[in-house]
Amino acid sequence: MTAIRVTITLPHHLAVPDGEYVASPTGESIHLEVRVDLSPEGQPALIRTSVSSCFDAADGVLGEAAAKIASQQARSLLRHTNRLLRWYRQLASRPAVLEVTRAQLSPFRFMIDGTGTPWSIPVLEYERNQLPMPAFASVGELGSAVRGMFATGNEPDVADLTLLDGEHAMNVGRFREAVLLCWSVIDSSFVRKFSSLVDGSLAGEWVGTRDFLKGFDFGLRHKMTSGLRMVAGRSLFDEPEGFWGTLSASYDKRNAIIHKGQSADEDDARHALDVARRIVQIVGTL
Amino acid sequence: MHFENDTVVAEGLEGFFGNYRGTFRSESGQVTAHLFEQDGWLIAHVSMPMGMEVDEITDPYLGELHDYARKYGFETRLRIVYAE
Repeated sequence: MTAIRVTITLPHHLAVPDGEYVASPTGESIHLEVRVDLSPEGQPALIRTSVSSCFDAADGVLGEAAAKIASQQARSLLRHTNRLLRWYRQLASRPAVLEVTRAQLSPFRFMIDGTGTPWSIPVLEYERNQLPMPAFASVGELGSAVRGMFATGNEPDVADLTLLDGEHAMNVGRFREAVLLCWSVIDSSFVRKFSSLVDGSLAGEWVGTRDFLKGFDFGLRHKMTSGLRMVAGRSLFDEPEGFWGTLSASYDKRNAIIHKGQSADEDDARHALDVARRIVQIVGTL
Repeated sequence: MHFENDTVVAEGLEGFFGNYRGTFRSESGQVTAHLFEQDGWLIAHVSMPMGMEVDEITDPYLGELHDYARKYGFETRLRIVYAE
């Protein structure tokens, strides 16, 4: 095995001493070190903090196997870094110190620890863009859409933006927020659609029944199953691939976060994001 | 090799990312890499399906990208950039 050090540089300086910062009771740690970039004239121009961590890799690992390890280690370093930033932000009362993304931290540099020799994956680099943009065939099409919507003077749908917020929260390690943001999307998009279906399909019914079905006393999961079956002939309980089980587990996690102050991990955030995307897609077909 | 020319990418992005060289798609579609030449470097912009991480890719792709770089004289000047 070989000890590999992965290093990134934050976009700002943290006013704390250099050294090891233990990240978990299991002994994982990150190393902080001040880094001074010089101007072309040789003057100290930019003071930033570099963060690194060490891991063991099998000797001679190459190609996709090395990329897999590098990706896992980059994500782990990102999670630790962002948790440290959150503590720093709170304890130092510095609201401007925000979490960072992998694109902001790129490149992640991998060296054989203590030697300065690059590892088999010397750098791992991320960018924010995906080419081409998945929802559009071309840059021209995307440009036309942006121009057209911008000209309306309106704002994008809050649910769409909240779903992107949820994805961003997951990417920067704010897993509890990611779950809650996703459930905000699920709640608002489903309930809005369900309410319009109730009003449409039970238009001639007693108003008290319609208000009950749309109200808080008829819970969200009741709306999604028997309620939806009544007004649209479909129940989310019947969705394939165990969707109802995934949705219910994620709903329980959301309640545990809100009512019991429970924590959440990356899997919880990912499940909530999957459920939210699926709900948005289902709502679009109702 | 699974390289092709994607005219939409070529027409839409060439001005931003350099000279378009081609697009690699891995065996089961997990990896799409648009290749551009910029300042003497071959830059592979790699993307995966939504929600997939680099460490979840099971399709081979790095060997083919390096082979391509070697074949066209970019052996030591291949830069791989993953979509976040």
